Amino acid sequence: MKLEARNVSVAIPHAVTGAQIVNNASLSVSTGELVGLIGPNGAGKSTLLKAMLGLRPRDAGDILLDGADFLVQPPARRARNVAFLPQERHVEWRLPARDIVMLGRYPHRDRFGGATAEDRAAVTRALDAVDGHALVERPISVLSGGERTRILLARALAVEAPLLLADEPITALDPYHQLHVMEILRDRARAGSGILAVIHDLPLAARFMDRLILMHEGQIIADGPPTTVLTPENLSRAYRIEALTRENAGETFVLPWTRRT
Amino acid sequence: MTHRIPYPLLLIGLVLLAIAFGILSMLVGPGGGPTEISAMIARGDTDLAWMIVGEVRLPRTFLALMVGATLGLAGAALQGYLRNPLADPGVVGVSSAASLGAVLALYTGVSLAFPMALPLMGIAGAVLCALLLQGLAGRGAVLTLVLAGVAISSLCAALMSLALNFSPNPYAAAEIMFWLMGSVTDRSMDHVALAAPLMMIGWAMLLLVARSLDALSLGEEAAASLGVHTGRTRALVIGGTAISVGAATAISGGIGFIGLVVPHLLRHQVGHSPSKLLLASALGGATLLMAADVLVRVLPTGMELKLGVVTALVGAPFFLWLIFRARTEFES
Amino acid sequence: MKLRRRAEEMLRAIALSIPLCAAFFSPAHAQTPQRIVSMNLCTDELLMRLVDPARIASITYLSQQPVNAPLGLDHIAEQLPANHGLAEEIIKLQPDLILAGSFTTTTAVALLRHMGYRVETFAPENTFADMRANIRKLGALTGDTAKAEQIIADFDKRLAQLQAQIPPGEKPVFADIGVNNFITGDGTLYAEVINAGGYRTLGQALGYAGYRNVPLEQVLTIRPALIATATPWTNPPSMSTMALGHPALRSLVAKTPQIAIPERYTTCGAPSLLGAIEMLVNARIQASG
Repeated sequence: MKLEARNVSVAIPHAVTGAQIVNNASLSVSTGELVGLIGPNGAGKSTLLKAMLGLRPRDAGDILLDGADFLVQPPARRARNVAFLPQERHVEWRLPARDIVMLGRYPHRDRFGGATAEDRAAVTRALDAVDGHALVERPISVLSGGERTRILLARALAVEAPLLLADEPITALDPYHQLHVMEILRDRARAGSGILAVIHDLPLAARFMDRLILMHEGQIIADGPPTTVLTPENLSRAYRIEALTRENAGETFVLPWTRRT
Repeated sequence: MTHRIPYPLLLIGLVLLAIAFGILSMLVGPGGGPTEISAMIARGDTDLAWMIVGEVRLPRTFLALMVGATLGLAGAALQGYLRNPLADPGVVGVSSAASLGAVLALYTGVSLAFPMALPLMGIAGAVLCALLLQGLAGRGAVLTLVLAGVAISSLCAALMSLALNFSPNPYAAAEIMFWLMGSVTDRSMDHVALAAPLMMIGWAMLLLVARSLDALSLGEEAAASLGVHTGRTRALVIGGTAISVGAATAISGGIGFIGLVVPHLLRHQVGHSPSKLLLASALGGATLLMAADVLVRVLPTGMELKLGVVTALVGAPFFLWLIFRARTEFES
Repeated sequence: MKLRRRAEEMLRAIALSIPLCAAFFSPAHAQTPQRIVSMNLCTDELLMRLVDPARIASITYLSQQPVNAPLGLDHIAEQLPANHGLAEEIIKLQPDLILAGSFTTTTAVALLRHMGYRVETFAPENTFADMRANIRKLGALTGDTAKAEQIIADFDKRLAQLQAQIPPGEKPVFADIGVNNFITGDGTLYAEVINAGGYRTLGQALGYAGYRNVPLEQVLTIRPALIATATPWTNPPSMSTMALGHPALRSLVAKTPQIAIPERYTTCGAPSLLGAIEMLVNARIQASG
């Protein structure tokens, strides 16, 4: 399954540059790959991601699922095919973690039915993936940042949709939890899901992701394996930084080092 | 964590409690307690007993039950939809609009000639409010909805003050003020026949969004991504609240705090689930308002103690206590 | 279940038919109402003056309060059963005629009418003519037309007596500021009473009609001859209205004679008005003599 954005534009002008926040951008994500959407702040990454889900109106371009118009499909069907993990971590009610994860089954449940055995099994599988069984009875509001992210990720995984879009899943997590979440996403992709995640951390993006898409001022300026995208020219142009490229135990990573002024 | 009753048992318990207060409501009143009514029947005045119990107390009990259920349900629905435990049915402006309609009926004297004009104009006010809300805030951020409701409330309150200011004589002013305090005294089955269908339509609309409220716990974007129709949910919440709370206010005047306090009381017992809170709050609201209406009749006051005054006097300090007890939660 | 429903329907039919039967039979028997209930303070007084206490099933609890005693009638009020304007109490009394004010307990009135009871509403009186009309209307309803005319005649006679005692000359101003700076002007019952007592109201002096609020400055432009320390809106009588406590008025209030007319004498369009008129006439006599 493949979700594609083709020539998408969103005509909100960027506060500083004045350019359109998303300007004729095209990208895709398919099952079986972990893709990172990277770029400086204000590049339009979150806006593009949300436009692909129909959460932001777009002014041009198409969103296609396996070649067919995605957004005209009924919301429940879209939800079963593409799951979304937003940046929002706040849950107003003191719901226990188990109930939060069960919310991921919303697209599969009919109006009046209770949770089925299949729903419960899906929840268990999602909790297995994030190692969250110890947290299930606790109200989400008392969980730490890392624990909360894992439970919300479990919620997104419980949908068991072929594709997952994630908006900054590891921002504001400590290193332990950042690594843990990246491992979960990679394992998930290896198991067959397609994941597109907006991410700021370049070292982790280089190590864990199969493909990177670099956005700058609303446009896609690079799309490919990390080594081809994270070149000094691209880093200088998009991020205005210089970085060191290093290798450890067979994995190449990129470490931002100085600003270019 | 305090022990919780399983949901089905909680509902059964609330139903039984509601039935108990319903029966109690039929047994108290200025016409006499159970012994007096039985004595009436025993000496052959069955028609009298029927009139008191069937024509005066029965509609009153029905209305207390239904208005209480409406306020509890709408309060829970709005708190769930707005993701804010401080929301209550008044926040979308519907109760003020319905009150304004009724006040205009009193002010113009239409209700003197045609008593049913009062609730009818109240309902008209609520419907206009709903249309205005849908037009102003049918799409867009949830904040717009709240602000539109606050604006409408303010406007209606200003117009009601205007009516009081220019009321033709002090009796009309007093009548307006007493109506605004809220009451179900001496309403007839005609009032029930007018308001009940509307309240039930509103209930149906609100119960339809139950599941969406659970998904909305995660935020609007996550809920939309799970397949929640945000536009349809908003329309059902606005429409359901307007129709049911509008009809309730049009009949009974300004009764507050039920919609605010009942969901708070029951939220922990239903495991903080917004969808489960709906039915529980409806039952809890019905029980609470019937209890308050019994209190109104049992307390020995010369002038009638108004129902809205009782709910405010009990509800406000109770709400303060709830917040005091839970303030650590808000700080986190 | 079905049997009970049918029984209930039968009982309802009986209940509704009782007043209907009464109405059907009354023209033939010319039966005057024997169990009359009054739900309004003012109809209380008219009723107590007009009919034998044995025919009064209930008056409002307000009439039993000492401060609300109608002129010369307290002994009757104490002995009658009281109601609070609630439908249930009134049903229990099995009335054949119910009297209410047009602004009284409109829900109870609507409900009682809905159940088939005969409820007659009386509009609040704005003039002495309204009062006479209401007395005549009540007399016709209770079958005491002759007594009604007698009451009116007595009132008019006493009124004429009192008015004859008023010294000649322009009517001085009676300052009657109520709470919230309320004053009464032309076209109100209150103004007609004050006029009958030989004074003009503050509202009339300022050229207003009806009930209004006035700013203090306007009040200061008038020099009253008499100040009310009790008005229709203060009870018990006191200097408690904010207007009278204002420093600007303090010297005025200190120099001017005061009078406390019991609220009850001016609330209703009924013969108790004579109490107020008499007090005012005496004040006029005192002031001139």
